Amino acid sequence: MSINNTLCLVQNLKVIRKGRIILDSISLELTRGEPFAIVGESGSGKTTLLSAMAGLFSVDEGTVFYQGKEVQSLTFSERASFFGLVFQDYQLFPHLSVLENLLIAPRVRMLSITRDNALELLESLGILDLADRYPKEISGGQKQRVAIARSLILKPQILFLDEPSAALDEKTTKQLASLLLSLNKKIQIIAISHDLNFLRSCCSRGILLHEGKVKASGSLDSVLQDSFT
Amino acid sequence: MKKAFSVSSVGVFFLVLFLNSLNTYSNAASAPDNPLKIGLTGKYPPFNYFNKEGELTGFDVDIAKKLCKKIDRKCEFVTLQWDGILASLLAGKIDLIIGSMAITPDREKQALFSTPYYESGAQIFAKNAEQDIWVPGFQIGVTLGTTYEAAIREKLPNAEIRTYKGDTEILQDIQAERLDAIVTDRLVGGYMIRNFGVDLSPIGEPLFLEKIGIPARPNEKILIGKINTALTSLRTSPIYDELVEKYFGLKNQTASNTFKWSTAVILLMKGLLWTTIISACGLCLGVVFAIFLAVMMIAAPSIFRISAKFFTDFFRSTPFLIQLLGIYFGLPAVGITIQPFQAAVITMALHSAAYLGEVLVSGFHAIPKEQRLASQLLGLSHWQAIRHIIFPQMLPIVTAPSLNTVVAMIKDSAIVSVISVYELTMQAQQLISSTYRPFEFYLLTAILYAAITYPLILQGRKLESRIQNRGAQL
Repeated sequence: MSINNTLCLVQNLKVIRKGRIILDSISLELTRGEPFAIVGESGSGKTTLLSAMAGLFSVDEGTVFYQGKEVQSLTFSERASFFGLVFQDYQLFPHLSVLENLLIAPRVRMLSITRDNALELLESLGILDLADRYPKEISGGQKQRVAIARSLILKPQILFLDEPSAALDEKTTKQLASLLLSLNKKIQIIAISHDLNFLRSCCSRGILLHEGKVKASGSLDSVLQDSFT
Repeated sequence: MKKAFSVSSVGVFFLVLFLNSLNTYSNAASAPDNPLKIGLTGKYPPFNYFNKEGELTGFDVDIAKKLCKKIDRKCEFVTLQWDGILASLLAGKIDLIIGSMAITPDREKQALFSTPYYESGAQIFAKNAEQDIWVPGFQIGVTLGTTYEAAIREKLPNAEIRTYKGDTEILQDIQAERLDAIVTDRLVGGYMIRNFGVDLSPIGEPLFLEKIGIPARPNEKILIGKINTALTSLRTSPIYDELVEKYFGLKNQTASNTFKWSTAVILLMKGLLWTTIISACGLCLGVVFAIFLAVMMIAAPSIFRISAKFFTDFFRSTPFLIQLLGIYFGLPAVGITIQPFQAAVITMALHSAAYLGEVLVSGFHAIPKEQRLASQLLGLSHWQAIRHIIFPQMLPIVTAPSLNTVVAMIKDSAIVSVISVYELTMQAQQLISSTYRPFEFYLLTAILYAAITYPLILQGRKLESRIQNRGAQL
């Protein structure tokens, strides 16, 4: 596979916390394609892997590359052009309105992104009417869409989502899955989850983490098969 | 009288004597054409002081005028600091001191004294004229550092002696029945009792007597001879008794007890202005220093973090008064000269920085760490994240506790009066000592403090409730 198709390359990643091995020799090549799932039980190391891929801390061994560059050597603005991340609890900025949440980073970084761009994006996600509301005034599902929009406005190549269905009801989860499928046409979606219903409706490939190691990888069906054996 | 100052004067004498040996007294007072220059402090009512019209007056001044008339010389008054007054005499800057100087053996070695123009001494005054001063536990107040303190300890070993900053504070405690008696100068005491309307009576004989004379340079024997002749005639004439009656007699009860409210209010306003200036300077510096401390405690390597933490803990766990005195007296000890105003501002800055720094640090930690991560993931630098995401969220959290610190500091600024900064509390104390109206002036002072602090308290309360509402909505 050529390097251009590879969005993110994880090599031999090892993370130790308080003498416990959290991630053990993880190697992974993420390519452009169907939405990708990182599956595993609580404590399997999913969130740690996601944080390591986002460069949020320095790992004990191994490296994460984006287009041949090590993630730790990238500036925050370079990282933001490679990937966005939606936290499980969204982390919207409570002192800013929905529209301002989208526009704060472009404005501070002096990017050529306009208010109209933001409004269009909100419309495409079906939340245009929330533009002037504040985070405390909207529902969990709505907050998630705002958080997704806040990442998308910077046009990254990858969108990481940490347990996106955790706080959603069944109906909203279905809506989320179809949203992610449609977004995946432009951007690579990578979701970590242990919610099988959500995973089945959203993703068709992925890896299974178990006790810090990759236990299976490939099509989602085969991966999920492994999770029950 | 005024013996407390004589020790420092003695040191100056030797220097001045040396200088005088080079000086041939070219400005000798004997030349009758020159006016006689008479030195005094102008700060010793009722002997010599400036009255409400700004004129030099008092017992000493009147005596001096009468003497000059009798010896047929023109006189000119020169006001000087007490601790340099004898040196000025010996250096020829003045010719005579008519400023209530006691004749002591030490001084007689330096200067030629006239015969006494009055006698005074240490006297006990009590509320009850029949007071038995010999009972054990008899409580008596005396001003710290005076010669009366030693005298009273010797004379009344059974008494409980309490020392005070000044006679006014002692009189206040006697009025409030926390104290039985005061020991002070016989004449000064009588003057204060009459003018402040305190009902006290002298008890027994004076503890000791002092003779008050007029010193001149040792070579002025002719001048002193003339003055002695004039004094003898003055003291036996009815004019002398009239002067005594004028300043110390019982008839003239309300002579200087009238004061103008307008003057008092202007003085208090001056004090309020200084309180505001000191607080504003101290707090502005304090905010800058607090930000510096907070950055050290949040982001700096551990050695800086530990020192910043130590600093804040130290300033939060020690009294403001001790910090103030430490800085005021400590810095000169290591060679840094510092004015009272500067000491006050520096102490307020350090003290408030410790509190405000802690407020900032806890405000910073109140914002979830993930907010910074989310900002970074959107490509914001550390500084951009602090500036645009973290700080705006901290602001409503830190404002109310910061305002509380500001209010506490403004109130604590009253403490700087101990190092003679003429702020509101100091002005109030001065007014009380010259008018003896503690209730009115302390009440007025309290109202003036509240005029600055109360709006801040209200503002803080408003913010507090706004934040609580916000918290409920989040």
